[in-house]
Amino acid sequence: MVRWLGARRWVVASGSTAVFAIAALAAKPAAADETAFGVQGETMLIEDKTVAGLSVYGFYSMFGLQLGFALAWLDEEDPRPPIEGSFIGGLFHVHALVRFAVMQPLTLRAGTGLDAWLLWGIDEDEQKYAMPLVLEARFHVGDHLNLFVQPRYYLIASDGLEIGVAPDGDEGSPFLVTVGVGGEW
Amino acid sequence: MALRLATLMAALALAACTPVTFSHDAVIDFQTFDSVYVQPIVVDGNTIFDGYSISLQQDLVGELRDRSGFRSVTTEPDGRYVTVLSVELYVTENYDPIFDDDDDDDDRFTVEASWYLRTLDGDRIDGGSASEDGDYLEDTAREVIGEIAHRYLRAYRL
Repeated sequence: MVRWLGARRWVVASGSTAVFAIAALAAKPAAADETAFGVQGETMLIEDKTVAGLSVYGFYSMFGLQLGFALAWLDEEDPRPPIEGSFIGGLFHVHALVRFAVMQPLTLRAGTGLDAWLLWGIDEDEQKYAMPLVLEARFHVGDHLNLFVQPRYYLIASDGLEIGVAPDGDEGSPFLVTVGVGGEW
Repeated sequence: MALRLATLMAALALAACTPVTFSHDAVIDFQTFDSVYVQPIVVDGNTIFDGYSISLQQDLVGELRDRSGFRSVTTEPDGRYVTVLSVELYVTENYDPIFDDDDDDDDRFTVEASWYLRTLDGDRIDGGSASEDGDYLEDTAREVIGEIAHRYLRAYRL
């Protein structure tokens, strides 16, 4: 059961992709022989929920792969079944990325992949999947340390995975934003 | 310049808290169909499964009580329910007479389930099928039973 997002959101996604593409075209590809491996701690900025975890990534030249896992909780316990507590579950992601060196010390990344929300805290077999469009700005603080902001936008998502919609129906930003700190070698 | 970029990134991030909702709509109206009688599970196939029918029925009842939207789940056909759940399992033991030796550890099992939820009048409310493969019959059958229970997961919105 997969839901394609509506036309309005496609316009938002296409627009942000176009802006990113223009920035990327103006930028320089990462050096062809430059490999990089990194690990990062990250948290998603979500209302009334906490999602935090770790990712690892590797790049060869412009192209890379990132794997990550995070755990998710409600900020306040919900005594109602099926959750009976605050633990929601986990988010596993695998993203294929390209990177561009815009200017020192900033790098842009873009990509897509799979986000798998494994909602064990709700039900052992409850899972939601999404295909994100990932854009990222990474700020290199030193030789190895970096900070990043990564908005992601779900192009396709399972029924019942509503980004930008609160449980009471209020609407907000359709972008899931992840921030974090990483080490790169 | 670097400090400005970092500040801008931090400001954007802090302004961007997004609401996210996980939800599930129940497949049936649990207000109307709030109780279920789980019939003994019919098990058939090409292998031996003595006593599995009763234990799987108990497993399914336990899972439905834990996870489903039914207010009452029973194995007693006493008429104090509004729906009846019938489950049939077909178990296939996959054994290759050429490549497998006599060791049962080589065997794999396929468990196929079909189920129907009906009113007391016999009208079908819901139904479905599921299939799992595994090395251990009991575990594989329990996975299929879990899928049936998940089908009747109670609605939530978090």
